[in-house]
Amino acid sequence: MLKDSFCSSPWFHIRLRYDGSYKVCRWSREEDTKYNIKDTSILEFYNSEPMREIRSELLAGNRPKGCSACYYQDQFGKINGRKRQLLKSVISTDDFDLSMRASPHYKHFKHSWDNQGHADHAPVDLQIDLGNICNSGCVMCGPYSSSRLERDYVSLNQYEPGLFEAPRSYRSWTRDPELVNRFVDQLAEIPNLGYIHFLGGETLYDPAFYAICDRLLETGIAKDAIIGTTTNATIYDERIERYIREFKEFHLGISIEAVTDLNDYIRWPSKINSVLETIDRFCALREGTGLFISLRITPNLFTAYELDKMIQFMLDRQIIAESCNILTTPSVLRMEIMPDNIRLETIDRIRSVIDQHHMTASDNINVRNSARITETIHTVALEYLSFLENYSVPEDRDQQADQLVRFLKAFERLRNNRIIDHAPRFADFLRHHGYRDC
Amino acid sequence: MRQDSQTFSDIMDIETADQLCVELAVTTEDDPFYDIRINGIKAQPKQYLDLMSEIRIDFKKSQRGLVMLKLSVNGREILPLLRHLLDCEDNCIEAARAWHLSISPNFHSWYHTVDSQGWIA
Repeated sequence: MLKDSFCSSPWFHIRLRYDGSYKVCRWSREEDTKYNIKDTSILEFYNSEPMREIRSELLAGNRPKGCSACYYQDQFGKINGRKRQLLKSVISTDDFDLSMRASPHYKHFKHSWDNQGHADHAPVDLQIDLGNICNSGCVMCGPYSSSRLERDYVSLNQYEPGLFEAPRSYRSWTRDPELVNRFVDQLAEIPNLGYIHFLGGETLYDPAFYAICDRLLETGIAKDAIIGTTTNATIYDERIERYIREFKEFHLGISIEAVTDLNDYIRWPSKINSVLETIDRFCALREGTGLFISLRITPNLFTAYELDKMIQFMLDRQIIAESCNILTTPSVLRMEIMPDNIRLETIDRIRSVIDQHHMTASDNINVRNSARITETIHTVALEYLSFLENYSVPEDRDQQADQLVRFLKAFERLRNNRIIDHAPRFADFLRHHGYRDC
Repeated sequence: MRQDSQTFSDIMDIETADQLCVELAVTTEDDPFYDIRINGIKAQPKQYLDLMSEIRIDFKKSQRGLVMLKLSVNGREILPLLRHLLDCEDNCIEAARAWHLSISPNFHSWYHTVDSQGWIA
């Protein structure tokens, strides 16, 4: 049915990848397109063949292959990218037919239906990947998003070539100042631009982020646009304070996976005490400004075990968690690889915090609503509980667990650390799959 | 209720007339001066309107005032969103007061905004 497959995202959103190539959606699993900002403008791409094709596919009721991540999360009732994008078109999956017919975008859908996927209005929601400049080497990340991992992967590939690809050269489009200027000029030509989300690497560590924000302020785009970015909270740069004041709104996502030293292992080489201090500094800026903070968690099998502590932290700080992803790569880190006994303990721990706070489910999809933070945190907790209770164990879980040990040991050889010091509950499981303590 | 659509053609085929059901219940229906109108027509307990239409609800001064017990559109109770427009927490509109509510440009977009569901792309 159309309500189970349709998404309005291609009618207002595109993504620009770190190398300047375009993608049809920030959540798409499809390969990057052949179109690149070096020779194709944002508006030209917006009506290019891949965009017209995905619009036509969605209107026909098909389920594009690249949208698999959203459809997977639909199975667990998770608030995913599809539901959030539909909401921006005033479409609800609970009242799909009438809300779609009444949607302010209905006329644009119909235009595309009548014109082979062509769109008759400009994008308003952009995700811009600035490049891979980053001060962290998170184990679940890759060289395309981390310059530190770009270096590490040379050694990792030599040690475990079957698990780590040899890194390519990841020269980002933002290293060309003339192209950056052209990009901002193109933004100025887009009417009603509503939201720009910048991703790294670590954006606050990337000079391109500040260069683009400064130009958005100069051109006057800032006053009408919401800006968003994601940081690992290892850096606090006071220029952010000006951006928070001068952009229409500033949405800051904070990537953190645990509130204990497990985060130090996963998001190496960050230090959790310093990360928590930085989060508190950002939180202090919320008062009287358009700053909205969310945690960007993507639980893996280790951090899922500590989700109860993360949920309590969210309640204490009044920060929502927002993750439209269930981790699928690297596959060895998926929550689904968790052994059964730890899965049951994890469920009990989350259920305990849910019971303690009398949490109930909400139908609120707009997670960035300052008036409904507690309600959103409750929903996040219940969503993860639902996932952990209902996921299917992969048939190859044992092989994946064997690979997990090799995967972790490759990192530990470079970093001189041990997962069992940060996640001791998993020691027996890991040893069973070949982990040696030294 | 409609069945879920299979295709976009089915969505285009939706006849928009009478797709909104406004349900209104108040306490003072026996008040001879009681007068609530929906889009200019004296309100019935259930009133069907076009999906795309604006909805204007007018309450003229009555002798006793009234308490709104229910105001829903397609089963979605909207009274909690309107408390700030009424006189007190028990959904009361005082006797001497005229009151109106304008839902525009259509119910779905209005509800999205008043329920703080975020920016519309």
